[in-house]
Amino acid sequence: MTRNIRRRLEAVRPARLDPDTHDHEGGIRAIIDNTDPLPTDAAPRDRAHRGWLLSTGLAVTAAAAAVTVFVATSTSTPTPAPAGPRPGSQASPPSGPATSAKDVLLAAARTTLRDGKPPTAGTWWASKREGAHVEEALMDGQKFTVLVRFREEAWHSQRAGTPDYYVYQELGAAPLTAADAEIVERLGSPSEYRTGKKGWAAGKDGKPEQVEVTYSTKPGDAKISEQPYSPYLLPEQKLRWSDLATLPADPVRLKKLVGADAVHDDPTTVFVLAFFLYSSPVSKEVRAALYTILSELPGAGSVGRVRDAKGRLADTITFDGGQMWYLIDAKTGAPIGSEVHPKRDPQLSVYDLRISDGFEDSPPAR
Amino acid sequence: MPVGDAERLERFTDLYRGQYARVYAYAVARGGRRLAEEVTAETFLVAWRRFDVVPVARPVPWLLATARNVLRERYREEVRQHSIAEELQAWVSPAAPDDLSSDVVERAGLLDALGRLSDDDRELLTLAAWHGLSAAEAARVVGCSTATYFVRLHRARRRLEQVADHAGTTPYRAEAHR
Repeated sequence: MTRNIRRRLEAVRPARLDPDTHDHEGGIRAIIDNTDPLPTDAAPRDRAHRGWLLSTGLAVTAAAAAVTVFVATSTSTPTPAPAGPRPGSQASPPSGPATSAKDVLLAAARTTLRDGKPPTAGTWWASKREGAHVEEALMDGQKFTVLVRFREEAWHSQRAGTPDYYVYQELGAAPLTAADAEIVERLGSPSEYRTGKKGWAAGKDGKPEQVEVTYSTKPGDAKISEQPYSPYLLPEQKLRWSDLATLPADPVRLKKLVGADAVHDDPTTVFVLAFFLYSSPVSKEVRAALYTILSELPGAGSVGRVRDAKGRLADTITFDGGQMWYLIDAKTGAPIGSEVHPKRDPQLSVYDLRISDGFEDSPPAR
Repeated sequence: MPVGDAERLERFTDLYRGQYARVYAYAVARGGRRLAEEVTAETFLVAWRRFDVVPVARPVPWLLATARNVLRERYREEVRQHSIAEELQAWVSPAAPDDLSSDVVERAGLLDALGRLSDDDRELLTLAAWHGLSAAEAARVVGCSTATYFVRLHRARRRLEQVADHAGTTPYRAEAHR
């Protein structure tokens, strides 16, 4: 079987997705005759749609993560959040001198140029990250919220014929807030949180079956799966791993590449791709150029210096009123990842954080 | 009608004519045919009311994100689940039940496997394949970063592979991720 999954899916697209017939003029007339001026909540609430991202938890359930943070307004030095039952709650209030996003990014570019080292080589480029996701539990008729932490590693082979690896491990669930912890205590501190929801899992005979979704409070086994080698870092843009050594360090030329897959008029997508590329084996000059590109994007702000969910000191870049924080390591100038701090619930933050990136010559330990 | 309103209507008409089928297709895939027409109409109503914020150059991610919200906010979950279950059943019902050619069997097997995935996995897999979105656009529809989208897409592909393999359909390998 040589065709990839996308091509196979394209080939089986159901004809039912297409409308039989449609009276366009009638449809338009019905809409413009409906002159109700009331605003609707169905439109995306901000340019990156993160408001409903959080309200639905859809992105949270896969690869993004959540952690409890405390946002305050004025402290002179970054301080860890108060201790609580939340295993990931290390983020701090914003603090430090007010700095513009441009200043933060250009300072990070200078740090990168000063301290960056040329990329080495190896069999796999291993990108290791940590996160968590917030889930709703239901036990004995009591609803509560838990934080499910996980780690994941993507091992990208640099040689055709050598497989990629993907490592995933649950790190254990815990009540999200003090109120949730009280409920859990009343329930007798179970070692597993039930949800009452059904999900697919491999049964005893290996076949998928529907079972209740549960979350253990203890770390699970690391699952290592072998994946086919791919020459592409960004398949949609045809950017190969082998292209990274010759990426231009000229911001104008580099921007054409970084911006190619960005959403029109949405600087956050450029940010995501730039962070992604920075965390790949590229030269320090390319990394600095990526920051230069980002420094010229419109609409960026900063809420100052914070500690991320892992307790690292980080500078922030924000868009659209400050819900999304792009974090840059204050010490190394490297991108850390992102956290979401919804205004309606400052205790909840979605994050996706880098632990390390680097070459490896031995496959992940089993 | 003032000139500004006339121009707005003309632009909206172009948007509606140009993108109706794409929004409808997404609504079918996400909520089933039973709801699709209503969801699509509601989506364009939102677009009309908030036309000033619809991205001019690439409106599709905005429209699909809005359709997604409409489905979530206007319908009870069980209504949507019932409609999509009906839809998924229709995908695997052969037009000619006696046709056992390999293409037909493979098609039914892949759609059956797709139907066994979660709604979110199915959406990730089809945003590019059926709705023609780039990675960044698809990420925008589902509300995550492009990098996160790649990771989630990779996982969805793995799950599709596992389900298809266990369901006894034609085996195939997960394509490389990211």
